[in-house]
Amino acid sequence: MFWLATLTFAAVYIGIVSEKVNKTTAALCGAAVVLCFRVVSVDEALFDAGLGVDWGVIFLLISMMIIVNILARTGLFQYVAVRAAKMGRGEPFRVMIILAVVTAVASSFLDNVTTVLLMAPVTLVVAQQLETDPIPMLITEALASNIGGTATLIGDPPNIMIGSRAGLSFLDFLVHVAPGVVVIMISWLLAWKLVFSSRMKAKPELCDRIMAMDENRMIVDPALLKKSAVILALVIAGFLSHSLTRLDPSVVAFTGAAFLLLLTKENPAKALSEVEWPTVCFFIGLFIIVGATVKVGMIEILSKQVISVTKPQPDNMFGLTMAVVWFSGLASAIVDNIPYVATMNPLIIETTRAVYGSVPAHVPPAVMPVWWALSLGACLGGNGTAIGASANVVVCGISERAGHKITFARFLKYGAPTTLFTIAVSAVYLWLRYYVVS
Amino acid sequence: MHIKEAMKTKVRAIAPETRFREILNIHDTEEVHRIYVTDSRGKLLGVITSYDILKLLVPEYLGASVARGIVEDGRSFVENAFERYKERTARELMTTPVLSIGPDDPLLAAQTLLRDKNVYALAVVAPDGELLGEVTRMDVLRRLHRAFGFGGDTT
Repeated sequence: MFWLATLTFAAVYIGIVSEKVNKTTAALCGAAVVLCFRVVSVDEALFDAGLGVDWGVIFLLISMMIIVNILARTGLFQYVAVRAAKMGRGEPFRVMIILAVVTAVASSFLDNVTTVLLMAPVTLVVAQQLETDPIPMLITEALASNIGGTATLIGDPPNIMIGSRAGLSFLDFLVHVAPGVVVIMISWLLAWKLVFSSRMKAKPELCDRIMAMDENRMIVDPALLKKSAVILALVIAGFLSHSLTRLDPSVVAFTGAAFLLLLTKENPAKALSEVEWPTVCFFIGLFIIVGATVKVGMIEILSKQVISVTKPQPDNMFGLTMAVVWFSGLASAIVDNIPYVATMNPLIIETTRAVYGSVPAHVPPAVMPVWWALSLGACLGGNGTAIGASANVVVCGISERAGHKITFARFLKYGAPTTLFTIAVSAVYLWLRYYVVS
Repeated sequence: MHIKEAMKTKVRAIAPETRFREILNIHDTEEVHRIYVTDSRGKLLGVITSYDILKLLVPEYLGASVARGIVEDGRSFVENAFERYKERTARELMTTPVLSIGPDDPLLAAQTLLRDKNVYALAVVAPDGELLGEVTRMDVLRRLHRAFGFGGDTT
């Protein structure tokens, strides 16, 4: 059983990294193998969050996709993007920075892929009107969306998984990760200023084209916008009031999605068809495979290795925190961060069990920074390469179809320094906040 | 009823080496919606429709909601696209394979294909691949109308 689970896990990982097999297909086949050979039972796979599918994650993902897909049809994002470009007075560098900030903020509440799918086309229009190279703007947006997504529980799937598995709330992420992300974003944009501000210029008459755009005409459906914005605001309020209501984020989002369907009279068949089922199924498959590796003890063996190297103590896990943030950053640049976090979650839980003798009901203060290190490392590591995060892949695709091919090397030139820089800032943030100040 | 009773045999065909600027010219001056691409023996290779040309001239990233807010008349978009594609050949730009049907197929087959594929016309092709003509939605409906007189007599 041990070898069957381990080999299946390895085969699925190799399949995903080499891109020889579609990642959803690979994950589903792997899950089928461990289920057929009864490495995990059906009951464990479906009803045991530690050994099987974490339905909280699945419901949260589906619900947010429904809400965001409806919101996306209103024209709000086009409006905001053009407003941003006008705030930048049509000067390419200023526009790029403001669009990056808008993308980061939007990504912290919406899925990164959705955000860039909405922002990138408008960015191409702006760049076209300014007759400037759109590629720096587009790559900057992809990077900004991954940085912004790190800030909240719902910003990026790794955070959803971490929050659900570790029992960390939306507010926890807002208090612990978001300030770090703000620091990271500001320092990254300052670094960007050094690199780009002198390089990007547009003729004054072209800036006028941007200033002449009428963003008010871009709101396609004001009634739909009002309804979906109200629901999204209520859902976020629901996430924030978790300590009062004790409602799981998945329940809050699910309720929001259900009532949005009722309020807007959207055809559920259409709204549901826009859910990214391949991603959802990818999660389901991964949960089952990783559950199998937990059950056979593979994760336990790995956690012993981790403990012997980083020597975590019940009151101080500095070594583990630093190891996790750096290793996650590098690993996520190569491996999809979703399977990575799916594997790391039980690893950190096993490590906690080994250090404390049992898994405490609440995350002990010493373990908190380890989870934040995983979140920061896994989310920011995605910026490393053109394939490190889904948002990067999507942006490269849009750019290529518009006749501006972003080569792997070109992305790497922007992405790799960004990853190293942001991970370094994260490490400093974690060190200062949890080991110096407290 | 068969396709050959409803089809048009007069269709516009060009060689695969024809450049985009010539194609635009043909499309504009002859007002044809579909330009078929055939080899020297008349074998059908592909088709370029008004829709294909429209898609080439307006960038995919420009959505309708953003387009409504652009004050400029769109010249820069079309000029960029024209510069990019003007030397491309029909072979590079054409849609292939072409939805087609045989002259001896029943008309009902054309009706269902036109409906299911949501296209305006089907190429009519001989078994050896030679382009014989086309059958459009209008051709099919006109033939049915003539045969059954549906819609009633309004006089």
